[in-house]
Amino acid sequence: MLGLSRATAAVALCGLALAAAAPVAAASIGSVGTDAAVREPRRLTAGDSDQLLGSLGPDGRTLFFASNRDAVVGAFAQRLPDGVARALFDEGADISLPRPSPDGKRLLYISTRDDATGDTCLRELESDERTCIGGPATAESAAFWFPDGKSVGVVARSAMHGEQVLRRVWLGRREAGTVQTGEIVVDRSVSTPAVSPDGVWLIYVPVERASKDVGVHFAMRLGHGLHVRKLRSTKAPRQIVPALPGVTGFPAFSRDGRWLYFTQSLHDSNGDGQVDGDDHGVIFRTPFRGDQDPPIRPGEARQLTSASWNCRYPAPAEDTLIMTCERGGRLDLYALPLDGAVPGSWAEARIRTAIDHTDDPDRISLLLTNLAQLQRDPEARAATLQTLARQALRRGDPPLAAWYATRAAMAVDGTPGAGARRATAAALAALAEHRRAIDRVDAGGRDEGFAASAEARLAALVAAPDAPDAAAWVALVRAEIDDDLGREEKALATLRALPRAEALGRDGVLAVVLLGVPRLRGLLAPAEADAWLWSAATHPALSPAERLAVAAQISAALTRGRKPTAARKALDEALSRAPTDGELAVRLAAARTLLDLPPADARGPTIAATAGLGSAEEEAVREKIFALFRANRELDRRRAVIRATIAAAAKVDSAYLLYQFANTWVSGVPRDHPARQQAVALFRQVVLERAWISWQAGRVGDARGSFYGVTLQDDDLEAWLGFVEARLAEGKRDVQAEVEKRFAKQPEHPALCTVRAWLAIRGRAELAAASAADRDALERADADLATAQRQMPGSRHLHHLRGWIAHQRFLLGDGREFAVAAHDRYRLALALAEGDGRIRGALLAALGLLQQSVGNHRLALEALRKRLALPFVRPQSRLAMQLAAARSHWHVGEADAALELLAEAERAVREQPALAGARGLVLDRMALYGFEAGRPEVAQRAAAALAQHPVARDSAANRARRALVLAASRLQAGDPAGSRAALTEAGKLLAGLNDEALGAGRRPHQPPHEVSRERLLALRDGLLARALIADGAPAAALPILDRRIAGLADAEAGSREQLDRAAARWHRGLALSLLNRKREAMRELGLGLADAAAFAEASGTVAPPERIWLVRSAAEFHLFGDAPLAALGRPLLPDLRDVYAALSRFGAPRWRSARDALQLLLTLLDPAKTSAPAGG
Amino acid sequence: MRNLRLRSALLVPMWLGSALLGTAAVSGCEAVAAGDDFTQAYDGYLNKCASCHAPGAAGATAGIETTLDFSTADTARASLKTGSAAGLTGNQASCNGVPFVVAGKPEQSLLMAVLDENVRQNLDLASHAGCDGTAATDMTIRVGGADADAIAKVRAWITAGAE
Repeated sequence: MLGLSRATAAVALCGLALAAAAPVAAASIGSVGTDAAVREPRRLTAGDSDQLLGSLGPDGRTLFFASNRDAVVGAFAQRLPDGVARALFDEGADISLPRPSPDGKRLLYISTRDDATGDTCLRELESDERTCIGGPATAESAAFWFPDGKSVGVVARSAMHGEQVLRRVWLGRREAGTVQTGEIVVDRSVSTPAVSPDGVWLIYVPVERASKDVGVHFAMRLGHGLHVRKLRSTKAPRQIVPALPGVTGFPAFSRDGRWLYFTQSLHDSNGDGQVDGDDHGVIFRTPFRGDQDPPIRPGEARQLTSASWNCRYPAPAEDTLIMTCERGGRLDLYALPLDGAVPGSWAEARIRTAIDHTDDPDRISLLLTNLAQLQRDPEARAATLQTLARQALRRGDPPLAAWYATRAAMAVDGTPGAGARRATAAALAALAEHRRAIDRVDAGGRDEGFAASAEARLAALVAAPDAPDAAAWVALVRAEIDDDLGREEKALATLRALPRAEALGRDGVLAVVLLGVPRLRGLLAPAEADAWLWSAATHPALSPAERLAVAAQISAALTRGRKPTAARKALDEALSRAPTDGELAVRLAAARTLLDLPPADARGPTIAATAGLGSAEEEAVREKIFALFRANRELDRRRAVIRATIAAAAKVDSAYLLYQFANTWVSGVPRDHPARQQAVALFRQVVLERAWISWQAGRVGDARGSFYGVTLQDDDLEAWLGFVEARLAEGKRDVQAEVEKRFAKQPEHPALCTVRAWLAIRGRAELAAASAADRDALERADADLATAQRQMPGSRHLHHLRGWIAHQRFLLGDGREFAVAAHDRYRLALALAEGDGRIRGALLAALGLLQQSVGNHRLALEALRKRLALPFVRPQSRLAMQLAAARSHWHVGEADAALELLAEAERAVREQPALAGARGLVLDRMALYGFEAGRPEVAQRAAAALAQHPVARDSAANRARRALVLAASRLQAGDPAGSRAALTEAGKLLAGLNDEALGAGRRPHQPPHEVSRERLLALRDGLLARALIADGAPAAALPILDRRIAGLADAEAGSREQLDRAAARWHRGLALSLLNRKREAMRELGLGLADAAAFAEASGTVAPPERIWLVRSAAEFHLFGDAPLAALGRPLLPDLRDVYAALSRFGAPRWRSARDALQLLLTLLDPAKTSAPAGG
Repeated sequence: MRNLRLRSALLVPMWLGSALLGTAAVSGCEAVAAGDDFTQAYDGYLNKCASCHAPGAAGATAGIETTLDFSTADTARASLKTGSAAGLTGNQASCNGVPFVVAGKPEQSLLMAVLDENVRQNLDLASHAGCDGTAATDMTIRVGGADADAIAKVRAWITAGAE
């Protein structure tokens, strides 16, 4: 059949250019960010499996971890920044907690190979020698290295309900017998212990029995805080509880011993009513002062990860923190700098401005916790904690809100403001309890006592008459509880009795506007709710940024769900009421102007005044927005105008406005302002977008200029590759020299390395011929990319390109390990490209084609389906994906789905001239899949169409194969004469072919085709025999079948050939029965049954179709054709029963008619022993 | 990863003596090697502007200023000294016609405004009221960042008469 490789490989390679900007990661291995912005964890692993419990070896580059990618959980290693993992050894069972020794030569882990409860084992990484400590008498759950590398700590229990004990086992010391038990360090209640690098301190999480009836292992809960003691001390440990909500786990020391990292579950993220180790983990660190006792102070812990991430098992290395995080339902390893997401160098002011310029609520909470840690002024700290309370409540976490509010009160204990804060905290605690009670009732819990407890909470609410903000909190909680008790009138009265906004401070206004109004909007009239929002949008206690945020809410509410005319009217009316010099008027004016920006298909042509980049409509909007921008000098107001404009322009694809205002904004933000970073990133993104839009519009010069412009600002590899392509499109061939000139003094610059590699590989999409020059080019390109990757370890483009090279190496037949490497790199690039539509498309296509080439068609379909759901720039690309997906559908037996895709493809080919050249390929596939789907009319139509419009450069081999498919389709359609005609044509073509001609187009990585000339001739013979029989010429079929059977004389047991021989004997028996040579017919069927039974014995496939035909024919011929059963040469009933039992056991719908027929035959042949199949 | 190309200094005619203000007292050979402020600013930084502002520049796009030529220090000096902005569109259009340099007055020179954020934020041109801090573009981000030393030299050059 015609090959796909040319089209699809070209798609894959062209797709390499379709990628979006990626932030440049810092140069060193593992380090992931600068101090310029809040950092995101950088992904180190990716795939369809879980990767967890990672730690870096002493070389700082080898990442050790556990993964279930091979069905059992095994130990793996991965060299950073390369994305390819390798299994370290085959344990043959699950392992856990892989930990490299301090010298990196051994791996410590828990194995379940010999003991399902866990054994501590060691592997020499060079020699693979394995030794284990402990034995069946103990159940080990954790193990770690002592800093000296000569001993290990093991947590184990020695009885089913025994205690979790920590022992120290000295390696190299042999105890009596083979089981090493070591010396007890802690004799009970230990989990996740850690020892300080100087070997002095021991820290662990205490565990408690959750039931007195069973051992702690079976029913445990984490104790409170951490236990700390000196390793050699015999005193009871100190209990240190971090001043944080929730529970603590997984302590780990920094390499220098100055910090202790741990995981804290802050809130009830899984909604089961308790905060425990099953809830989201957040990583913290606290200073560790080994020269003091206690070495940890409870209130110093700093939050390192956002609560929106679920991270645990912190493993700090020399300059990087490795952690296991859950995203999208999978566990993977991530890295952050040691000081976490918020740079440790940031002082209060810097954090505050970052908060003002962040919209992400979890990030805001992360920044706020860091801010609170730094604040020394009690009132300021209390205000920050109160903000955290509001944030928590906004996220639907009242217990956490209550906790923060309580801490806010404690921060100002003894001061005049303490009473008000305590009243607020108490109100939030009551609200937390109330919502928890509601959740229990909603979940089907009993509601007896619900009303009484709600009333008790109401009664306990303390009014705070001299503190309006606290009074507002109390009133909001009271209104909510009354509302839930069904007392709506009372709730409404409480809300209406709230002080006016002018009488409230910032906390009170925000509580009402952000929490009260949304929650209780159903009680208030819309005008009342809006009045509160308007008050907040003009309230002097709120910051300008906060007022603008509320103004944005109002603006959105006025336009939501309204047609443009109605929206304009609503905004005009609101503008007429808004104070003219306030933030609200600014925001409403921006919204009003932007409503006049039409979508792309409603805009006129571009005009000269915009240098041909924008239409008259866009220019009119630009002018008004610019005037608004200029009229408001405050940075917050300008930022609000810019944000509204960028959002509106992006929505209608107005590249002109995007560029104008991204440029204006970045030019106006002071260099040291925290908003600068975002402004620069936005500008760069907009210029890159403009480059692609220009490229798509055929404005190659503009595209080239824009791509180049981005490269001047940043080492953006996407921009570099875009520049190279644009230069080449302009006809300039010396682009490599141009780039080399720019980096004359930096020969290993990542951009230069990448451009060089790209130019070497871009012309090699069709690598069927594995010349030495091709391989050299691939290897040199990979070396260049590896150099670039050492400096840009987080670049998805580099993982993508290296994945592509490995993919090509696999296709060249260089070994399956290249396919594995390609897969790992593509998956990591895909994970790093989250939210980046351009590169995701290219990666999904590449991954799908890779899986297809190794025969994993179901996995291929997963990726190809996702790719087909994304937009395509060129119709050729979509067609290539459709054909690829159809092929995989066919391979997994979904011929109907394949035909559906081909029908779409055929339509596209008919309607789009650019696709005309692919028509032959589509029809060729349609013929094959139509036959396979049992739709011979489709196959014949396609074949007829192809005959009328022959494919250019079609080969004799393809025509021969097509003729065979046509013959099979005609036979399927009941046209034996037509089938014979096609077979005559096939015979003529095959006569002139050899195996080499038939194998042309086979890729080196593919196993030798089964379709040798001999096999195709045998196929032809089989079809011809069937056609002759169907055409009423059974005698003519006999010699062909004899030839066929003789050709299969050496078929091995259990082989496909043996089954083919059984089928040939069935056909021969059929032909003989038509000639009324009954004895011979039965003898032939008996021989066939012997073959089929031997096949079943050898292969385990009891009921292949051939055996079903044989038993059925033998039985029917005997029962209805008077053929003598004895002539079969073997008893029929055992075969019949075997096949019937197999069909009954598996019960697939497609076997129903065969099963029913066999049941009838059994009844007739052996009425005494026949029973109905299970399930009827 | 900054591309700080270090070129050897150009020969500078001695009659540009005023441009040597601020440099140390030098022998004839040293003065020729160092160049005046503009030359030094060009060699150290302004040459990057040729990426977009030069005939056939790789970074040139529609809507860019159309008269500047930073191909060499001489062409840059010439186009800056006597020229004024042209071809600007959109939010920058009100700066068309504004001279790149006003001799002796860096605070009124468009060149300074696009390099120095303080000059840009406070730009106030009587002749072109619309060309203020909102219309002038920050050109330093387009070349990877600002160079305080080079910008100081540009300022010195303009202050000294922009010869």
